[in-house]
Amino acid sequence: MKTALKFLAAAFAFAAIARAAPDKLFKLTVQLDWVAEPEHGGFYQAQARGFFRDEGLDVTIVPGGPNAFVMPKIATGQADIGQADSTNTLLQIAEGVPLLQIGAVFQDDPSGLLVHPASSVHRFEDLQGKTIIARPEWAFLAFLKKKYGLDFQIVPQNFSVAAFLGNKEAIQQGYYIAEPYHIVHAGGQMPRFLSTWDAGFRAYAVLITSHKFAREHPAELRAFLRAYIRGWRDYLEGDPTPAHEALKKANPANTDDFMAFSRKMIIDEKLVTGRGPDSGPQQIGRLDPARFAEQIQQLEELGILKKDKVTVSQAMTTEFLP
Amino acid sequence: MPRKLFNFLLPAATGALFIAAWYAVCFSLNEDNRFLLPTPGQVLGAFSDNRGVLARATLNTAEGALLGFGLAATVSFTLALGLSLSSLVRVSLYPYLMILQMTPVIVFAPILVLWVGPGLKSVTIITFFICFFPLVVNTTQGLISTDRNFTDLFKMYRATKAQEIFLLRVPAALPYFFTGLRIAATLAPIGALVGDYTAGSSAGDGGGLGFQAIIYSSQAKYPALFATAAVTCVLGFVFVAAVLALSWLALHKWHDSFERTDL
Amino acid sequence: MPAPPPIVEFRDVDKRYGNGPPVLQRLSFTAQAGDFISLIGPSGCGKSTLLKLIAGLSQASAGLITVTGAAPEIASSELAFIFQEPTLLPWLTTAKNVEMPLRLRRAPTTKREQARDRALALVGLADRGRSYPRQLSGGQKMRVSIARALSLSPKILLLDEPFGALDEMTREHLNEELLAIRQQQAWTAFFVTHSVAEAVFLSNRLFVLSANPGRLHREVRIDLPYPRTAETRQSRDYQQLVAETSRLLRSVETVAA
Repeated sequence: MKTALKFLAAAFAFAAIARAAPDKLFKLTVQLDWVAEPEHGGFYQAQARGFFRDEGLDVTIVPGGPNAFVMPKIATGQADIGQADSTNTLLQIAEGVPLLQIGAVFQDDPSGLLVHPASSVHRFEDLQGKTIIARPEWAFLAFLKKKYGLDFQIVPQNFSVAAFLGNKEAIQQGYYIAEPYHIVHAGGQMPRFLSTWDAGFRAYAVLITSHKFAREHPAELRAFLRAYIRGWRDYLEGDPTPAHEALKKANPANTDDFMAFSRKMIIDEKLVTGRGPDSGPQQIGRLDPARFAEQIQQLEELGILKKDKVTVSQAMTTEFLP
Repeated sequence: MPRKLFNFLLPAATGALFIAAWYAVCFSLNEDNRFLLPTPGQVLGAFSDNRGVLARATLNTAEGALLGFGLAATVSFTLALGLSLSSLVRVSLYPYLMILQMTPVIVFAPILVLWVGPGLKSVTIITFFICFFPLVVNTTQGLISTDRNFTDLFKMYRATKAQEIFLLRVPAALPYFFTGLRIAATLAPIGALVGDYTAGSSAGDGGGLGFQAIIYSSQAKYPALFATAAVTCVLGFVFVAAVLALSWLALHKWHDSFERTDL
Repeated sequence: MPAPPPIVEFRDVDKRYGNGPPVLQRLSFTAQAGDFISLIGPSGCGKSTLLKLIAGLSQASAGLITVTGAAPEIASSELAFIFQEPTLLPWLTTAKNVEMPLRLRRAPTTKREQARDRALALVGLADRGRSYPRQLSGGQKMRVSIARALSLSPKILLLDEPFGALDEMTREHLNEELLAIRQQQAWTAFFVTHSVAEAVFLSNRLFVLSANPGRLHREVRIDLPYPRTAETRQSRDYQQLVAETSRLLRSVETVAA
């Protein structure tokens, strides 16, 4: 009898704890900057492998698209953490938007200009007088104009490959790890790529949050970054299947073929682990204040950023990184 | 107090109150949220800083709006004439006109860009379609609803069909046409703006106010965005005022809508 | 000397709309040039229809109509119609309204302008050529309408209750003016009205029509001498004729009811 009661008591206690555990998870929303793709591998692997849960977080990943509005959403608290481009974020912070960059997604943002192999454009100087299909507000365009003294026409685009395929001289903004695949898959030749880092424009792909969230939930941010970094490492070094299954569900356009291509590019180009001398898993998520200082100076010199509008400490912080 | 002074002071006071309230709201926001509402001072500053760009953009949008509007006025008048002449044509075409009118033009914008390319041409066409339908419908209505007494009179005097149309139906339809024009005038700047949003390009200085709005918005340059919105309002206002003036010129001598009243 | 040919002749004229009852039935009469014929009768007696048949705006269902010796459609260039509404084109000045019929006929400019000025003078509005209809009183607008009709120097004037919407003073005044103009221009008139007094004052012949179907019930000859003026209204003969005709009209109306 006594043993039976003890057993019952233990069972109730266990049930109580088990039921209590979900209530203790902190709810958190992540806003992606694009539709779900392997560039978001860190998030999806961490979620699929339960790393967020291990850190006490219940994370909802909200995919974006051509009009993701990541930064306004973060700034107004409609989402807690977002993925963005570090330069554009800098410019927004300079305008008074209360954002904070807290960790890296890619050590180098793989944005650039796609051209056909037979295109007459080989160097940035060749862009003079041409038409570029790109997001008009892309800071890199202003950077190019100022740095190389260029003038060119910008046509707004939505990242479809149709316009690119139709014109042999087309120049289009793209993401190194995605568009080339789509172009080849649609019957085109593998395009050439003029990358931002070749022009001396070194931006990160970053994680951002709002000042308010950083003030109120520092512990949760730390927990998130721990799980996120763990997710990336697992995705790149281990078996990516959990993330890929989740990515397929989130976006049916993710074929196994495409995801393999994208992941391989990320690994080969060392986008997450760093393309510098201290490349490696310890670089995952790291932000270097010196690089931010350098870019702020660069943009100020080119007149893209008004002087003394933003300092490194206003723009980013490493306090939440492990 | 003299009446004219009174009529000026009252709205001026309301305006001042409004500006004061605006400032109050701005300062009531906590620091994190201040970016959401620029102060009137900041908006004015953005005006000044961006006046070159805004001026060019205004001209571009105005150009698209004018061209689209003018094209719509001409084509719709001609089409309305045709529709008024034959009830067969009218019955055949009207349903499609109705369907086209109810389809949001924005849906066609990407297709237009594919066919015609971005820039002034697309913007003009989009503006054209937005202005076109109220004009056709109103003018046709005016042309077919000429007073029976008048048409009888003309029949009595053995007027030819051409005489009936140009000496009777067209002048009688002018008030309707101008009603359509007034509606179209409010739509034209909107059309040009929307066209700009979806089909504008920045070829050299080719972007219009809609295009600028997108850029400022995505760069979080909110004072400039507000300034752009203000300029757009003024553009719309000028457009409508111009058409109202035209309306007055054509109609004030004889039409009841310009009866002098003590307002 | 043989009698001059009638300017308008109706022979056994029927008019019905579709398969309905006849609006006019077995209507026969002749009118001589210079006649002023008034048409009175209860509602539905086809007075306005009669005018439209003369004008060629409507076709007879049976019978023969001749106007100045020809079919009404051909003769219509010799006619002018004056409606109950002045029907002035509001976007044209008085002068331009008056010259519209001649313009439609493509008359040469000098001829057009002369006719216009003459007509405006006839109705006493020579100084209002530049005004717009909106600026004129009801009576003035009616006079412009008359001037317009007269600009063509028509042989036949058709008037459908032209003064019905005006007050009595203006009405009497315009009646006198109409007769004064008739002194200067010899036309034949067909005049539809509800006012017995007006009919007797203006005409030399008065057709009383009955309704359902519309028929010429009786013709009354008004032998008062022309020119007739305001004084004529005071004469005993006039007042007697008005009384008799009113009785006649009432008898026709009660039958119809």
